[in-house]
Amino acid sequence: MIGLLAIIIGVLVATGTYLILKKTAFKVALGMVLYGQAANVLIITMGGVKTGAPPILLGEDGIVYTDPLVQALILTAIVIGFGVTSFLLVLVYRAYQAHDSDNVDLFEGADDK
Amino acid sequence: MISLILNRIARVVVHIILLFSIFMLFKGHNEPGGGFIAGLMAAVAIVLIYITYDLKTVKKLMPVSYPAMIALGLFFAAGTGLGGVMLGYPFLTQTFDYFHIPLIGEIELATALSFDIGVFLVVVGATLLIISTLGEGSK
Amino acid sequence: MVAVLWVVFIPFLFALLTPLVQRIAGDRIGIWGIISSLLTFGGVLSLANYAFGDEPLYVFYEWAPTLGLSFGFYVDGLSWLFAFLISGIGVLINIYAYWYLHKPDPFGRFFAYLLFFMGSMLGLVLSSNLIILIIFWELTTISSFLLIGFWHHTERARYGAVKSILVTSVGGLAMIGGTVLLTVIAGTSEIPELIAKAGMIQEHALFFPILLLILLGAFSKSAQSPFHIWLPDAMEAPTPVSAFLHSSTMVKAGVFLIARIHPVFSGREEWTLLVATVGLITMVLAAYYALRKVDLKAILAYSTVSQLGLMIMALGFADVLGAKATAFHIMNHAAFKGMLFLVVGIIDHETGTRDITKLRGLRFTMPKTAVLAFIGAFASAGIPLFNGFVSKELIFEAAYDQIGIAPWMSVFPVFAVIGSALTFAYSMKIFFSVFFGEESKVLPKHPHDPPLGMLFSPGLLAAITVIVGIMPFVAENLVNAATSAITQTTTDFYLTLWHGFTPALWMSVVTVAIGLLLYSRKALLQVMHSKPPFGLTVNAMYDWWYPNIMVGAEKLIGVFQSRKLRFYFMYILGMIVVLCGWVLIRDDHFRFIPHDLWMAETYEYIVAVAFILATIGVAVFRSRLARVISLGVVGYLLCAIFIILRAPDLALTQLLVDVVTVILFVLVIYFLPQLKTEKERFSVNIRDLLVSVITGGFVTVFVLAAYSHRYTTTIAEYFLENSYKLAGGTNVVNVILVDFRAFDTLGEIIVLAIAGLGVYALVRLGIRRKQKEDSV
Repeated sequence: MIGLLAIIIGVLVATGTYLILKKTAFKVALGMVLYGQAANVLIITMGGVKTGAPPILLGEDGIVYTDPLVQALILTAIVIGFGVTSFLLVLVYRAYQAHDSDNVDLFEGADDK
Repeated sequence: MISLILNRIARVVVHIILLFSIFMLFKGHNEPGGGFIAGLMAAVAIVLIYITYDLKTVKKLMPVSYPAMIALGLFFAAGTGLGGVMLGYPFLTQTFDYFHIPLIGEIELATALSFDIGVFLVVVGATLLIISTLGEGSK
Repeated sequence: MVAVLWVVFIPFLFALLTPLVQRIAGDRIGIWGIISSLLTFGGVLSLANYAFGDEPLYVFYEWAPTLGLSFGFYVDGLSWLFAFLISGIGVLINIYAYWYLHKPDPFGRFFAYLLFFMGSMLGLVLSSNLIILIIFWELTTISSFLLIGFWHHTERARYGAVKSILVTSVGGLAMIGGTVLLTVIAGTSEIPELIAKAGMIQEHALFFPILLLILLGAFSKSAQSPFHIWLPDAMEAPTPVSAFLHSSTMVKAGVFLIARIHPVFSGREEWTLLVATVGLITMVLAAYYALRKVDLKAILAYSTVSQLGLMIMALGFADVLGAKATAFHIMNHAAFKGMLFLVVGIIDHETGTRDITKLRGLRFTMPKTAVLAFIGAFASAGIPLFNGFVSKELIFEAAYDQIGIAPWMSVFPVFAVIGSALTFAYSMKIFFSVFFGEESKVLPKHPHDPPLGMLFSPGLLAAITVIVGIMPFVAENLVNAATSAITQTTTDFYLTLWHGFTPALWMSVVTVAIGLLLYSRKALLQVMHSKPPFGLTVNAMYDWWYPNIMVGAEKLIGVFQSRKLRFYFMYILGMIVVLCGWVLIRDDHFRFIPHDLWMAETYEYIVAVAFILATIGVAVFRSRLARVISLGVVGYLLCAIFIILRAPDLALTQLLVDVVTVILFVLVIYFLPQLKTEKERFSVNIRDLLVSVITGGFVTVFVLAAYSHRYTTTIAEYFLENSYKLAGGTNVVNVILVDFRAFDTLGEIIVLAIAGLGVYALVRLGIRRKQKEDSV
């Protein structure tokens, strides 16, 4: 399973990189979302893959649970990722309004009128 | 273009989702759920109204200001923390106890719940603020 | 004890408040500067008992104790003497500047800078820690830069400002290096502790490099040769600034530093060799240059350089007499040179020129100014009955004493006399050529004496010059206190005007004789038209270096800063791959745990394959809607992965966020019209693909390596153990979020709130602006 996860993370990063390297701001935003997801899978993988039961305590002894800490980290990361993505999208939208283009190369240094 | 099927289903489903989100919020301490999930769920329910009808309907059904909702949420979350400070504990020290309430039985009340309500409000407020702002953006 | 904090921070505080006060005070803002400097001066006076008493004041505050950083203040005779001069002359300068500035100048900015400088300078002389001293040191450099460039609309002012900051910063950098070395070998940067460890430092192998580096800083600040080039160009500053910073206080910071570290470093031969020799060369060279100049301010600038050289030379004589002579001359020079600058300011102000070939016979039209100039020039020349004479006599005496130490050291008295003779000549030139002779007819303005406000400050300094000149014993206590601080011994000197027929007196007589010869018209002309002794001057080197370094820097920056987002991104990725890859190779982390690497259930394989296909779909689909749907699929499959990895909360959250994200993207597509797609060239696509595959492949390897080699144990056990016991919840993830790490969560919802409000503001502001434009 860890091999599969490693490839999944690799593909997410590769695709994200490819999109971020594009000129179109919309594609850059898509790439950023993929990057965020890659980071989330990476973190949860580092917590251990299938090492125990879901971290909902059952009150019995001898049960091994998976690492709850990484899950807590990712939970907020997902929600914040959404906030950041929406902010990025609105920036793209406003940049388009200001420049009539969503080419990131044209954004630099131009006056926002 | 309002789909009749969606229209009918939404009317029923929205209530169920909202109720379920409240359930998730209160159960979050012991089972999957909590402020983040419940908040997102409630927001999705309201977004469903927006998709089925339009923003005006949403405004009519929920005549609240989203920034105020965010502020209220932050107030709840931070206020919970300050409660601990007033009793001489570090900021955001949580506590809990069990109460016996007639008819319902033994229930647990944790200050963490009020913190989670704060989280819930912020998540709902922020999500709806973003969607609705973008929704009316081009006008 | 708190007074010392006040002394340093009052000027900063007042400087910060200046813009606010200016709204009320308007052009009368100068009064604000006067009040502030008076308060500071009062504070300094209240500290006097520490300078004259037995025990210096040492206030010490921990700052970052784990890093060994602290800050503190140290008030003894030396630092108090400087603080007294800075705040006292500060008051006079503020008063003078109030009348000096003209209407179009930004008054508020001027006084804010001036107060900012005063605070930095006081911090410099009062701090007990070398590191903190350097911070204040650089603050004075910055304020000096701002003040030199005050009239930044002129080319010369900008040139002078840049030159001053570059030259002094070069020295400052060297000084930081020296201080760091010193701190490392001594284990402290507190000056009193360094003094206690002087023996150990002097024995250390790094003694000479440290001394050299720190002295470079002092020399550049005090404009010693070859760093003297910045000071004459700094004269583009308004005259009150020249008088304050560039003659009486800031340029003496180097002298102060040398005096401060005197007890740590002096005693070894290198000290005398470096300090006294540089001082000597500077003194003679600068006096020669001063004689050649025709601009009054340029003469005074070189004269200041020369006098600083004289003081540094005397400090280089590692004996008590040298220290005493320097301490006394610091005071006297501050008084008469500061006053001369103010007088030149008056001349410039009232006649419109500073060129001595144009100025003639001003004694008729500006009699009061003439009296002041007379006192200043004669004090500078070292004529008896003026303060310059007494301290110069002391320096002569100290120089003469050096002959006894080594025969070669007789160069000091000889050149001290030559330098002083040159000084005599240019001082006479300043006074007689400007105020005597026939009245000039070519002046831009009709000259007359200035208002009383402008005469007050130079007048007071003139009075001090004369009083100390006639009755030197009034300064005795202060000089003794400072000398004790420099040499760390108790001294008890008497200052008198008449020493009897000592060698020093004969040296003075010779000085005046040579000086008179030099001043005779013929010699003067010869000096003024002679070629400078070196073909290639330091100034020419600077002027060659400066534009070239700028061009070079621009080229270098051009290589790295392509102004294209994706190139920056590629640099970052490249560094990550190279650095992390290097660590992986170095520590041989490619041994993966092999047995369960590819072990997975069939449905897991299905999910993984679908996930990969959907992810690639986001990049390759043509239509934007298809991309977004593909992204949605990726999100759902991620949800499945979270379930497989036993994370129900994450699965739920991901599911919901995915829904909202897709809606968000669809909304944006809806409002963003289909723009003409930017066609990428095929080669660019191949390059991007290559970069992506390399990065992705590296991350895959990295994940496997990191998973196979774990060095630390997880802290998850704690949360699992205590979740129910301490927080009463069985959903450990939620308990961590709302209880154990609630502070983090609070921060996170604040981020979310800011993102939401940011989106709202961005769109709303856009709409409002549009409506405004439409209505117009």
